[in-house]
Amino acid sequence: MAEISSDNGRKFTIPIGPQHPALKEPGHFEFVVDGEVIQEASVKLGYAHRGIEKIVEDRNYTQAMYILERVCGICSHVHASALAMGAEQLAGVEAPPRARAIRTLVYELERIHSHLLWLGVAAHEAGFEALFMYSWRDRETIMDILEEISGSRVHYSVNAIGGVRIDISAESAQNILKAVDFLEERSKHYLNVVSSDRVFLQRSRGIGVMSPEEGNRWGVVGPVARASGIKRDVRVDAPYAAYDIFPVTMITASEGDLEARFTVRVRELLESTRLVREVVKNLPEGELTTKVKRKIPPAETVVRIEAPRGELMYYMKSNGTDQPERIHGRTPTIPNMASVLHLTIGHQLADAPMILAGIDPCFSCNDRAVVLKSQSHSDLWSWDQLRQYGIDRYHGRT
Amino acid sequence: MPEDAKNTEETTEELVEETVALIPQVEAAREVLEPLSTSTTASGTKLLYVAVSLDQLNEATEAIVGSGLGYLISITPVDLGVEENQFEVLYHFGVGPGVVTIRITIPRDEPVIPSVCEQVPSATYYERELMEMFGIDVTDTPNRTRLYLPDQWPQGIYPMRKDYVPRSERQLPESKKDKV
Repeated sequence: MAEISSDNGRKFTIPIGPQHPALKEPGHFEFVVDGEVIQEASVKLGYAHRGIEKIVEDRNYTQAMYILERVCGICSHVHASALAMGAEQLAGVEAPPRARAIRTLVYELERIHSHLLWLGVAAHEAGFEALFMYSWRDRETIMDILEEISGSRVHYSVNAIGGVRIDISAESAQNILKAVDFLEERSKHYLNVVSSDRVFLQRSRGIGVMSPEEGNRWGVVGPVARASGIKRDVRVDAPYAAYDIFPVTMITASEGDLEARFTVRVRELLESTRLVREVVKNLPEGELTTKVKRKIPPAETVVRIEAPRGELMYYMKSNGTDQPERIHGRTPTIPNMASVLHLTIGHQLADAPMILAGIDPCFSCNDRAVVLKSQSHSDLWSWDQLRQYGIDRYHGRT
Repeated sequence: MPEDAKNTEETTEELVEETVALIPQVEAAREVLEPLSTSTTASGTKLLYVAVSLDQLNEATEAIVGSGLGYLISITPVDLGVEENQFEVLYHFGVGPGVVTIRITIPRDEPVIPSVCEQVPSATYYERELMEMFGIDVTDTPNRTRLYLPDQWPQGIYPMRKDYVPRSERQLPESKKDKV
């Protein structure tokens, strides 16, 4: 569907989505094109908005942690641990060293799985299906490890307020080391592929170039910022969890194009495998949790975490009860989305999916309500019906 | 994690004492904001909250972003409730390892703030969020259309306000007690 804009007969508005051209997540884009060249770009989000910030105002901290974990189905650990760390800061306690190291370990395992997932999706966008298949096959290694240590592939629920819920056994440690050895080899191979495959480079080199000045102006974060030479990584700038004991080497590139975004992420895979190995080999002994009072005195704090896609920030305010007063999250996709729309201007329409995929957008994180448009469809339940079903089921169980 | 916050008995008042030496980057931000601020509180060595009056907001933003001290991370609106009749709007800036938060307070019945897009172009995304979720009018933000809420969402209902009651609970007043 295309419509002719009134001011100039040659310009067309092309709506893309809510089915996203790059990812299997919903977002609506409108590109105004002159011929094949993009002139304007805008976005409409919220298709995956679940009102999580409102929901957690009516839950205690532990419940809120499990709900926040469901903000994202890729980087679930960063959200849950942000709440755990925030609650600990508000209560004035610190998680034990072993717990912090285990959190760090899971951050890095999660980063490996997220970057491999992205590599596959981005390769698929470029029409490189073999790379997509291989990277997703390799990603299973990490998914198996996550399942082994936590019992779940996606929502690992590693955190508890005041520490972690899981321990790493000697056997798991061996399996993790074996897995990262394999993934390190594979990552080296992928680095070679993304920087030498000629067909692939035609779709990535010199495309979507962002200068450091532009990046700073738009406030980009994560691998997108680092690929433009902006030295910004929360793990390095403001170490949290156990990143002070296990320091990270920041990976940057200066080109600022799509190719740089590929190489930065793949090199981060190598850095993450190194970190995982180091953490597993030097896991501090000790307790897994520390006691945190259920009621948290009134205070406010800001938590920053380097999620796989970039800086994640949570503002948290407590009010002296066991429920938070306000929790607000800022996920990395928001600033990156703003910048990337700006970047598509002047490019061919065909480059838009690749440029969008280049920031590794995550809409569920971005949106945080399911709104059903049709009320008459028989498969759809209203909120009241669903609620009543839950109540009946609960009573029926006892 | 703040080193000085080990004691669980400490309250906020004790944490905000000025005696704690701030890390250099945050201290530098405190200095540039000093002429503009009405009050300053610190939490630990890395977190600083600076209250400024509404008409100084753009100047304060420019003081941090324009000097290259930091970048805008996010804008957090906080509803202080019907009784207090105030909204707080918090502008978080990443300043080195720390976070400097500029705090403005506005009346709940007349929530109007200026845009900071002149200083930070990507701020419009956060400003649109506060317009639709809290009904805070950001007068000169470049794009005023909805970003998250669906088109059929009723006008004038702001879901993140403290006095917002979801439709399901309005229809089932008893159900609130029936916690499932």
